[in-house]
Amino acid sequence: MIRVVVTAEPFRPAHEVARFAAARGDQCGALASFVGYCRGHADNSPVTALELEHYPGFTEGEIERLAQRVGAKHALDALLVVHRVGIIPAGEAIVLVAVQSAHRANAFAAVEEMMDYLKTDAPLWKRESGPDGARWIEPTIEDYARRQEHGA
Amino acid sequence: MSPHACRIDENLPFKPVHVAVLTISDTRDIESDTSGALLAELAQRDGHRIDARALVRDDVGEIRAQVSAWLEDPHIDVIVSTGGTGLTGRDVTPEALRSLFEKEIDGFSVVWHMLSYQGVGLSTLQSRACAGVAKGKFIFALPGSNGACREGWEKIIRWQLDSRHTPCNMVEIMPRLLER
Repeated sequence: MIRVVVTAEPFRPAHEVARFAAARGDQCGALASFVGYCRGHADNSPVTALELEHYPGFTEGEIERLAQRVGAKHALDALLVVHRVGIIPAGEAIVLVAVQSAHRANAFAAVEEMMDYLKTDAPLWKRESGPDGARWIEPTIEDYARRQEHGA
Repeated sequence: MSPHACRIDENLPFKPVHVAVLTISDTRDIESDTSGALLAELAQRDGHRIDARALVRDDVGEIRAQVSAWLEDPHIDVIVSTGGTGLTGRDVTPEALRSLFEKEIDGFSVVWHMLSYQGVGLSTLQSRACAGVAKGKFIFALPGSNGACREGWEKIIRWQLDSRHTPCNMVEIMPRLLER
C-alpha cells in the first residue's frame, strides 16, 4: 500500500512511524524509516528557514508515481511518504519515508532509493533563507550521482 | 511569478498552440520523468495542447531524429525539451539542436541566465539553455531539473506563447516564420 502526504503542517515523525508500524500485516518482517530535518547550517552559513514550494495535485501525483515504482521494484508491502511544504523552521522535520517488506535488505534499499528520487525528481522547489537573503537549492551533483545508481 | 514586463491584454484572443515535449536523459524513463510531465502539465494548464511526448538518450543522433520528425509534423507548433544542456561530456542537446536551427533566438539564453542568476547565482553558468526557429516552429531547450523547467516555463515561455501578451509574443509572428 502506497501513501503519500504533502502537508504544510508540522508533523511528528515518531507518531507517523508508530501508526505505520501498528498497521503492518503478518507478512511484514522489516520496517525501515528515514527522517530528514531542516538543518540550522548549510555550507557554514546559518539557515533560518527552508521554504518548499509545490504544485498542488501534480506534486502528490508525481511522488506517488515514483513511490509505486520503488514499491514494485523492492516488493514492498507498504510505503509511506510524508513531505512538508511551505516554510519549515530549522530543527523541524521535512520528510519521512517509511517502508515495510519481508526482509531488511529490500527495506533499506527502498528507503534510500525513495529519498534519492525525492531529492532529484520530485516536483518540490526548495529555497533557503539566511542572513544574506534567500536562494534556490537545486539538486547537487552528489544527489544526481546517487539517483543514477538506480537506473532509469 | 511574472516578471514585471509581462502584460496580458484580455481584449486579445488567446490562441492555443500545439506543443511537443522532449525529455533528454540517460537515467530517466517516461515513468520517472517528472520534468517532462511538469512541462506538459504547465502547457495544458495555460491552455495549450500537448500533441506529443517522447524521451531519448543524451545522444546527438537520437535527439536530432526525434526533433526532425516533429519538425515535419504539421500538427506541432512548438517543441520544448528538457535535459542535456549542462557541461559534461554527455550533455549534447545544444549541439544537436543548433544543427537544426535556421535562426537561433540568442535572447532566450540571455534572459534565461538573467533570471536564473537571480535564483541560483553563478550556477547558471553550468546550463546552456537555448532556443531557435526551424521549419516555422519554435524550439526551446531547458535544463533537466524540474526547478529549471518551472523557471523557464513560468518566467519566459508561457508569456511568449500567450497570444495576448503585449507588446509582443511569439505566437503572433508564427504565421510569418516561413516568409521568403
